[in-house]
Amino acid sequence: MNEKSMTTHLGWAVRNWLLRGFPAISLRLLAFGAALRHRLPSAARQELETSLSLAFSGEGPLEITGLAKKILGTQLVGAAAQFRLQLLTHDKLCRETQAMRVVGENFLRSHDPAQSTIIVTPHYGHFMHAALRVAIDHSDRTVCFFYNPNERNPYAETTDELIDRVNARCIKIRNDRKGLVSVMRALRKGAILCMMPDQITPEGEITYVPFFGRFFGVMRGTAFLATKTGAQIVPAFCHHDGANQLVLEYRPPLVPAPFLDEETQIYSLTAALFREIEEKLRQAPEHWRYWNQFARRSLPSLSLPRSTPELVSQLDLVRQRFDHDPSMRELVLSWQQCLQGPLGIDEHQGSLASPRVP
Amino acid sequence: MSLFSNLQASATRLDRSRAQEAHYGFDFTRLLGGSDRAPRIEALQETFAAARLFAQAADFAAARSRLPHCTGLWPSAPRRNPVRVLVIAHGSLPALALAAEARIANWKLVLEEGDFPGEYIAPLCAKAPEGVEYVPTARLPLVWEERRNRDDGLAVMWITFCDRPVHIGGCGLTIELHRGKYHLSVVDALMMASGFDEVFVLGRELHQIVVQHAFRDGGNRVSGATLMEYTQQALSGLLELIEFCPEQYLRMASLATRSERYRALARNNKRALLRSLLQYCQTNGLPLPEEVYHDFLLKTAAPVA
Repeated sequence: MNEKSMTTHLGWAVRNWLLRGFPAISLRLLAFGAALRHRLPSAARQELETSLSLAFSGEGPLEITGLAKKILGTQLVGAAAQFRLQLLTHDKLCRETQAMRVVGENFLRSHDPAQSTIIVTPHYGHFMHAALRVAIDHSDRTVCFFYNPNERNPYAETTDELIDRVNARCIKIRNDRKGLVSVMRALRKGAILCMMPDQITPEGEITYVPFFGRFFGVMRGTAFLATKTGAQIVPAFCHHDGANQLVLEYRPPLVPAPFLDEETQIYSLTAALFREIEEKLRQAPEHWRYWNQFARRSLPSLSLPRSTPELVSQLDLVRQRFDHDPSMRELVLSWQQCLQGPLGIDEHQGSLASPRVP
Repeated sequence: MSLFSNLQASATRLDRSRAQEAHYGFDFTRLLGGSDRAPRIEALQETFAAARLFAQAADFAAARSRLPHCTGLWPSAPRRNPVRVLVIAHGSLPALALAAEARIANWKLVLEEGDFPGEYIAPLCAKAPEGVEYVPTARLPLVWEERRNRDDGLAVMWITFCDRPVHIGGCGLTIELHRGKYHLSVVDALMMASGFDEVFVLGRELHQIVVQHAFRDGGNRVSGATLMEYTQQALSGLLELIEFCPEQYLRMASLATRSERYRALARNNKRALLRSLLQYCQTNGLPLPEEVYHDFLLKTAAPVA
């Protein structure tokens, strides 16, 4: 072993020892280092600022820069805390996960013991801690974890290993055709499914839901599974409270509305889920991991229409997108005619009421 | 009929159906400008049988002898030691022959994980496991970055397969070559730009190409134009093989699926935008009459493949 690699290995050993034995101090040191590092502009910060200025359009450039620095620092500390989980022994990992305070656990209880539940832990705060806590708390039931396969998710194997260490009976299912069938079968038998749907995969079917005032591209898989199996969706967020203790917060369940058709149900559930995530993010935006994707995944030219005239002008823009698809262009034209003609709604129909979603 | 002949018959049937799928699943007419140059099903059937024999061999030397028509791909010129080489390959008999040659010459192999190596190289590695490693596509650049400065005195050949199915590609580029449009992952281009000692593209034979190390001197960005250029070079090897010896290529259907699926996805996502707008308006105070809404919703649904 040469001198350079020896120094590197020694550095790693010290880092791991500090993280394992003195988490509070080492994470604080890391936060300090991140604050220093991100004082200067960088490509990552610039990308983040572009996304944040779109999401928080009311904020000035100084506030946006401050928020970007805060997010970069929090992400680094979050990644270190997540890495630390791999360094802990089985006992310590279980002890620390169980020391977490849980809020709103009653939302998981149902009158029907066979009621299946999809626990959604978006990439917010300490989401891996939340997943482990779910695995420990529900060891008496079938708990499935659903995430992308190794070739698309470099963290898949580590996740497998961590979950196995706290509850080896959990079922790890990969996001592919076979996995989807297994998940549906498990949910129909009343299982608990844990997934993180705020990331998108390139080949997935996308739907656009309102998110921070824009149409945002998201996967519809969670709502699809809930609609097909009658499962309730329970959003869960894990973060530190004022006393620096980890809190796992369950939110009220989102249930498919029986009076809507299937397509509209899927849309409404997805929209409701992302409204819940937006609400949480407005309180503490620094905890979300995917702010850098916001600009790419939201539509630049289309805003949320609030009245009929606005919708008609939006449809003009949409029509331009379908230059090579005559059937869709015709559909947009019919919609516009419908809005302006005798079948439609008069131009002064009110602005948006509160959304009619479950 | 004995059990052995039963098995043999079913294996032949399997080869034939896969050859048919590969044959008809790909538009040769568009690519080669005439269906008369398309490989016969019988030739493709032989390819599948040869690849299966390769996988069933006892070791790499025995496997190599099963592919007599793909010989001497690896240049015999002496190389400095250690050397790290990247080969952009595809799911073909030459790729199998190259892997065997490299292994016989004591190169350590780092292969991209996927259907093709999993089906034809992995069974062989179960019998001769030393010196072969698999890395998932998403982790390739990361693993290379970790090992780039490690000096372990080994000659290592990294092999990626540029015709991987489209869903594994992640971030991709659509490029135009030989009158066709292809959607390829940028993983190969990223790897080409990340400082290997030598880079080769496998076509009918191995072509060495000159690339710039984009991340030298602390750089962490590579331009879109460079990625486009490298991706085109990666595809050129595959197209050379398809043009001159299509009967040696096992993944025709995969390449066709890649581009077709990408186009369908782009079309469906455009429609999804209209559908989402429709659903948003319906549930947020700008509704259409129920029957009109359902009619529109039906029209925006993705066509069944």
